[in-house]
Amino acid sequence: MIIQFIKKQLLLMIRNPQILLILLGMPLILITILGFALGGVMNGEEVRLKAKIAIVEKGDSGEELSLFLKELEASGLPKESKAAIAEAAERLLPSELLRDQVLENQELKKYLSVQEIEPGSLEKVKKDDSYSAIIEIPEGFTEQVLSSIFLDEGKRTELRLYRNEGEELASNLVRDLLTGFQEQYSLGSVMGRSNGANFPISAISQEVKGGISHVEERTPLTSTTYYAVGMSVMFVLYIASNMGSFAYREKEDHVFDRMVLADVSIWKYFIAILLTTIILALLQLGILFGICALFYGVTWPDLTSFLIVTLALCLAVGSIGALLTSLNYRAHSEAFSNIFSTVIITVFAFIGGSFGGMFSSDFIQEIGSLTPNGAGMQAYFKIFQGYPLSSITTELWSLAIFSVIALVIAAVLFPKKGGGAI
Amino acid sequence: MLEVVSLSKDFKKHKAVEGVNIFLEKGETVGLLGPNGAGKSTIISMISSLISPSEGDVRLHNDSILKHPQMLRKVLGVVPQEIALYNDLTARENLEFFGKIHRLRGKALKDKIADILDQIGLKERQNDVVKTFSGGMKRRLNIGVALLHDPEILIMDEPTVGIDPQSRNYILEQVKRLNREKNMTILYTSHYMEEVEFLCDRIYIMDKGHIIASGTKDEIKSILSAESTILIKLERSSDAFVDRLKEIAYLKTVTSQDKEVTVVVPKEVHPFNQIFQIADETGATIVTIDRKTATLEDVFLHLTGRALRD
Ligand SMILES: Nc1ncnc2c1ncn2[C@@H]1O[C@H](COP(=O)(O)OP(=O)(O)OP(=O)(O)O)[C@@H](O)[C@H]1O
Ligand SMILES: [Mg+2]
Repeated sequence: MIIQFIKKQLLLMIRNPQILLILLGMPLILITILGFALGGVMNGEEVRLKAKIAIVEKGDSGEELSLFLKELEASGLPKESKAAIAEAAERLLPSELLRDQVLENQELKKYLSVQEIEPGSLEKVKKDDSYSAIIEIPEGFTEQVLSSIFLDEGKRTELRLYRNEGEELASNLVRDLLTGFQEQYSLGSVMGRSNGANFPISAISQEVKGGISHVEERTPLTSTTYYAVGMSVMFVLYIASNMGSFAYREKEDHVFDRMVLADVSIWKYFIAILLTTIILALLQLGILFGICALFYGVTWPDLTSFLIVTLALCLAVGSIGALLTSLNYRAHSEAFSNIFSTVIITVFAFIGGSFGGMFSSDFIQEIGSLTPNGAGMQAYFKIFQGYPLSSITTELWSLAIFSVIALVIAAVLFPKKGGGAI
Repeated sequence: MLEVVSLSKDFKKHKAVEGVNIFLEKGETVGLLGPNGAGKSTIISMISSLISPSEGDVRLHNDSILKHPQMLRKVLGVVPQEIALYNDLTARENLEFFGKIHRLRGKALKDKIADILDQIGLKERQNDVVKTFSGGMKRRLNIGVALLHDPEILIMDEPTVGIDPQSRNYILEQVKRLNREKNMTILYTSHYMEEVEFLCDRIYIMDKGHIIASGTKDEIKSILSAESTILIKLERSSDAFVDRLKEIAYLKTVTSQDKEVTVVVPKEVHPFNQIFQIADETGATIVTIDRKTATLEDVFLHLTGRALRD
């Protein structure tokens, strides 16, 4: 029976050019216009991922260097090596290198804005949500790194990274940077010594899961990709309002009565609406992303993760479809579908970020990431950039919780007695 | 086999149906007549358990179906008053969808659809979308969909509203055939007396939520059989003529409108001679004079003092 519903609904939509235009035509046109025409304006074709980073150095690297030099003097190394090591150590001050070569790197400056802060204001900055990450260089770090590398005196000191969980993308980037730095630092500084790098990074706010890959490997988010995702997650919401309207009209036109007369239970109908919406949403996203892949080169590195995000998003859309159906049935009009398609989708699209990050307010961004389209978009972006599935658990939860809440409300509100004048 | 027992329905304060009793025997065609708002559709919705009655019971073979409508739904076909079809699907797609909803599959469904398309005369148009159909064609398909699961009982709610006489005759013939050939039990609702007279063995007449008369055609007409109506058409209207008629004691009622005068008399009275005489005396010229036996329309007028349709 569900198959019949889907087939019927597909036929009804296909024969309705206006709906097809909204569901497929509009997003494709917008992707093309926004992705290409505005691509130049957006400069460098890359959507900015701006990470605000604070760096705090608790010790004084100059003093620590002299401390190290004293230790070096006291060691039993031959004189010539002492001189060479002293010279190398001055050039290889880890905190300086981190600052100059990594964080101030021309290429990376596009993504990062680094701010040096006083140790005293660390606690305050930790509470400030606008920072994506804080790098803390603890006291004695310079001295200990140098002596562990050059003198084999293995007291380990950690470089600390505080990650802002709300800014996963950016803080992951910083984590990857540090890991890369760590590897390169040890390689570049061993000079024949075998004991590699010795400043483990501890990620404090969150344990580091999954593999660590380098920033250079991340596919940049071009504006075409951005809008392919942004428009798709927005326009898939129209499936829900359309289903709500269709279902309501089935009641108005008494075809719903015919189903009741054929002994189709209310719940079967309810589930049919839910599943039909999900399948149609899947089809729509399939077509949109398919076209984007074929013509605009928006391809996905990990198809499984992509499908999981798509499924979660479609489940949310299905639940909205069911909710709108219930509300329309209760209101004895299509009002809720209309409000949803005219007002709510637009608001969701803006705060969810479909048209680019327009709001600097953290609060709005926070709300935006709770909308199904906003959560879906964030998840798609990460997947697109090659982040592992584990990095989008927040978004998946957000979608799942949204779906469950919408479905429960829909089920509670759905009229339990079928047909006629309820 | 199907019985409606002191059925009532209140919509908020308004009583749409009150204390209605109806029964249908196997193979009967029964008419339910009444003007707009009489409560016909409300009764049908309660029988098909789309809405629940405020009071009373609906029974199939003496079992109440209010709690378990499934029993009745298996054998019941309903032709709703409204066109309940998908306008953007073709006739065939509509039949397929509702057929599958009725759990028909494969060859059985295909044969059934072919059979129904034949019956409702839409074979040539089966692949056209319903919204391109005429009113009559939609009505026919509306009936066809109700026949998909071979119902034993068919309830038709004003199946001929708003269509041309040709389609109407077609539908009436079909209904007659369903009853004759498939021994279908039919409850037929209408405002048209002549349809009900043509189709039905027994008739219920209702008004304002109540059954006001019931019985076979003849029984109902016999309500009026004690009287008959004489219609007189004059060349010019004449008050003197009408006034003189009113003086005659055995003429029960005399009404006039312009050149037409209606006189109701007891059946055994034959007043033609006297009427012509009065016409002579008052200088009125009679163009036609006619004695009518009662129609159901007259019965309704008699019972309610109102015409069936405005
Ligand atoms: N859902 C409803 N809510 C309130 N009143 C209703 C509802 N449905 C019907 N009524 C009222 O009940 C009365 C009977 O309506 P019903 O539709 O049964 O009449 P009907 O005999 O079928 O008339 P028609 O010939 O116009 O179809 C009407 O006064 C109508 O206004
Ligand atoms: Mg009616």
